[in-house]
Amino acid sequence: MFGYDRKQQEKIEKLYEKEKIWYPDHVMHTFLMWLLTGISMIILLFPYQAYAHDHSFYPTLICMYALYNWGIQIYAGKYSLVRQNGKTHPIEELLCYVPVSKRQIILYRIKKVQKPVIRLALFNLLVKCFLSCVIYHSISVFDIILPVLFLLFVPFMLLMLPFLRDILFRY
Amino acid sequence: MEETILQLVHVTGKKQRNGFQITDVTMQLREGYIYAIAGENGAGKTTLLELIGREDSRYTGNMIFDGMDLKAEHVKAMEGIGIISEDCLFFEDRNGKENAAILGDFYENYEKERFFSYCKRFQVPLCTSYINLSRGEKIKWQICFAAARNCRLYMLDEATAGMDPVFRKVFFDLLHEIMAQTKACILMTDHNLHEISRQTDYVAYMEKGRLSGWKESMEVEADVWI
Repeated sequence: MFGYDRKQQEKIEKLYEKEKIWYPDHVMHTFLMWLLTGISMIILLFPYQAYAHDHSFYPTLICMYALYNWGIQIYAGKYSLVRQNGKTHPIEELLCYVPVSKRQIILYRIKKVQKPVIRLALFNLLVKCFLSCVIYHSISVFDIILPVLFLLFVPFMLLMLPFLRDILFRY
Repeated sequence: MEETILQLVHVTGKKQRNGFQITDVTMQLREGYIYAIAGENGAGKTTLLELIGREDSRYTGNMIFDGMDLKAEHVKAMEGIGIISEDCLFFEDRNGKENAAILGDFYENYEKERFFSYCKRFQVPLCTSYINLSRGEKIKWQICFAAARNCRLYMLDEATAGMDPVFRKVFFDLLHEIMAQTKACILMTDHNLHEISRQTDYVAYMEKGRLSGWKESMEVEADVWI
């Protein structure tokens, strides 16, 4: 469906791995990702039943989900931007006349980000369920839905936005 | 008979925010010729080249490059298209040699030896970082890189702007030589109709996103003088 091209992926991989074009901002992107997702995780680990009847808590929850997703997008910046001589350029601009599809660059970025995203979502889901079992002796369906939706599905959807825009507004 | 390399059939670009639009461009470029598009600033010359070269360009009509539909087979087509422009982005803190090594990996037809031999012949410094190259050197580096991957179509966006007459002659000699060796064609843009008509085979004038019909350069030059 997404037209994954192994040959092009290998070429992009080679560019990143061999040339280390991400290096100058690598530490900052990774640090900010862990900082933002770490802060948000403190609240997001609460079992659903802890705030199910407290509607005033929802805005905080939404802010925390936004913070988490922001952290993931910053991490994806490691595979989106190239810094040279103090200027930052999107990698798509740098490779715009090179025989590699913009779609493949986005897929490559998703491939690179999926590992921490899946791990974080899984960690959140397990801890949420564990705390729910220990404290409330039951697991709410939202303890599963919320991490899957906001910590797994939404980050990938945000990463795929340019991809979807490309498909929707092609002509 | 010469082979058609690029064909545009009633190509109309998406309207930009300022209302500007490439409108109904139809042209056919054959191998072995240099085609030039002249026009004022903002006439749409660069936009047309971007429309041809960019994957995300939006247009109606058809663009056929070397028998391939550009929209459907853009990645494959870009193997054979070399875009030469001062605005093209490269790894600025890397030198010419490193840039060629990094980007050469993306092309199936890229020949390293060929690139070095062109650079040697046309005295392109390979050990200077890209940002420190002069405008002319950057353009020459890009042409050598495009020639090293046997491009069929070279698109030069105001490449000759600011060149002195001596360097301009050397530059066009280089283009003719590359074109003869690789059976390619060249599409270039410039402001100066008179200057460009002396060095190219066919010239068209662009105004407000519309392209006039192609005329032989000699004919245009005569008109300019009259």
